[in-house]
Amino acid sequence: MPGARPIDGIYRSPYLRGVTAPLQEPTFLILSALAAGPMHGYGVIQEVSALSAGRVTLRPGTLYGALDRLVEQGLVVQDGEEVVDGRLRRYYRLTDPGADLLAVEVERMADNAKAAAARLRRHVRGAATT
Amino acid sequence: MSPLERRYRRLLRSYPRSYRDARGDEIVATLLDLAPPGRTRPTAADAADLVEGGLRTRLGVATVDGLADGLHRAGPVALALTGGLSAFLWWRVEPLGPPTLGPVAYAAWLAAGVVALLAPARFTRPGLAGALAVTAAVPALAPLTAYDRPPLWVLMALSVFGLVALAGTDAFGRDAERRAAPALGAVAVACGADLVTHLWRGASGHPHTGYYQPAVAQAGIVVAAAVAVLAFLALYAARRGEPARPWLWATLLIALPGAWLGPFDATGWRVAGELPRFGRLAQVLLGTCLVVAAMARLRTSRAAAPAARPAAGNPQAVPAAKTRYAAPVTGTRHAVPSAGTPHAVPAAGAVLVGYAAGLLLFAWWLDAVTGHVAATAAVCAGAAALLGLPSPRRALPVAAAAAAGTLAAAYAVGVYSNDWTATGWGEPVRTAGLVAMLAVVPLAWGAYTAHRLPRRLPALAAGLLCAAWLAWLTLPGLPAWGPVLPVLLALPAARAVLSITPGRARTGP
Repeated sequence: MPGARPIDGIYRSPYLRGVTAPLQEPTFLILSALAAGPMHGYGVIQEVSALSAGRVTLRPGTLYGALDRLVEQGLVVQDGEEVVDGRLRRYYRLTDPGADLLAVEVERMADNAKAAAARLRRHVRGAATT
Repeated sequence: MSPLERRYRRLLRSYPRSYRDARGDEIVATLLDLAPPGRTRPTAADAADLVEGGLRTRLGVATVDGLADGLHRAGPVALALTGGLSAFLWWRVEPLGPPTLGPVAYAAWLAAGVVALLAPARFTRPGLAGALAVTAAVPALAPLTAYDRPPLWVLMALSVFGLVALAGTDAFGRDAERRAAPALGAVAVACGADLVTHLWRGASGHPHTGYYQPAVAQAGIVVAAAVAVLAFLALYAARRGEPARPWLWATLLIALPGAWLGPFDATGWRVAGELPRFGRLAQVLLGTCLVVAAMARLRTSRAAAPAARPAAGNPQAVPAAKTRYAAPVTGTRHAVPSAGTPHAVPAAGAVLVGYAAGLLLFAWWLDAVTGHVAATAAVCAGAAALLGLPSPRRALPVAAAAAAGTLAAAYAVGVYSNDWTATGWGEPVRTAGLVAMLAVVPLAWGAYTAHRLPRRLPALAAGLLCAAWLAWLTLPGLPAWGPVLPVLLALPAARAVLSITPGRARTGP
């Protein structure tokens, strides 16, 4: 892929070379949710649900497992906490490497979409299909 | 505290205590935020999610480098193996003997495979969990019916492959490639196993006799091929400068149940003295120890990982690897196992002593303290003395637990090897010999511990002693090892993968 940054190599298809594999969808959505600003766990769940039009509903065990992993990889850090109505809210923030990774992923998806759109323009409507 | 909060906190006990202390309040707050007003009990889905999250945390899935990705890679392979092996066993093996309840479990796994292929993604995991439950229920249900249960090797292998598939599959959407690959893989596994049976019969004229030999080893060859492919992908990734660790984890996760599928039938092979034949028990013990030792090595070789990863020709990834240590998190770091903790030494020594005591006690009870049994106990005690024992206060409970565990395991082996009878065993010497084979576990533990210790004479001697007795117990049966051999060959390959410097490998176009 022209213009791809080296970080691309980290996430490749589990099956075939050259078929670029996206980030796991929940990971992608969590990073996207945090891109707008720090958020607490409940906020991330709501935002992921909204971003995916209700398709992806994270449960807390899954969410915190994913957050642990992202923190471990340095893509997300904890960023302050507060207590609201006796409930602890801890906030998470996207780090610069996290933002870079998300940017690479977005670029990859945009390139794919652009390539598909270009080919679609050459498609002749109503031609016989095989 | 509301009843709902109390119930959530009870479910949270599946997480380790230190993790609960650090993150429990936050997770409960999120659960309470999500609960609609008026709810007093957690939903079943929430409960399953928390228990699974706790198990994953305890196993270090989030914190051990490459394990989570490795599970994701092993998942489709395990799914293919459950489907393929089920089809092969139902189609080729079941018709050869008296009917068993096996087809009930096979149908459940094939149905789970069809669900994974065709149904919405959220049904995949319930399908797999259902098949697991059916497989676990088969031995309990069989006595109530006119049918036998299928052999344990079938149930154990299917269950562990199913667990890997369950843990390596998430409930989120998959594209056509990810749906089709396990199904195609299952067809390949079934056809591959069928091909092996044809070649096998042609080569040796061996009659195909149902569930036992050679069907076990025939299935094992197909699984070994899958393990080999994963090991090759690890090498390939390392050559390309990509992270090889997830592939190595996937290799080991599939190799664990894969190594149980043996041994090759070596009935005609000689037996040295009173040594029991290298049979199913030795195969399972040896295979498990090898794979678990490799997993422990991969897990503790974590220190080298951050250096290897950013070196993949990518300066941008360097901060990622660095910040993970600087991350102001108290909640996750604690779960990281520290390599070579001082506890590792006394544990191995005390376990060896405990095993030796348990073995002698059991053989004495059977009135079968043979030379082989006494020598095995002496070797274990000697290795323990060389490894060193800590203060009695810390060594005693471990040794006592090991002795009790040995007695329990020895009794189970006795029941198993005497046709599932609880008393009145006919061949005490043979039973004692099999129980001496259990030494593979403490000896492997001792050898691994010695390997991890600083190179000093006592540790070296302990390691050599353990390794030599392991070799004496298992090497005479080398031709029978079956799928353990490929696994053993995969270990140097894994070492080579870890030592490849990605920077050098990236010099190509």
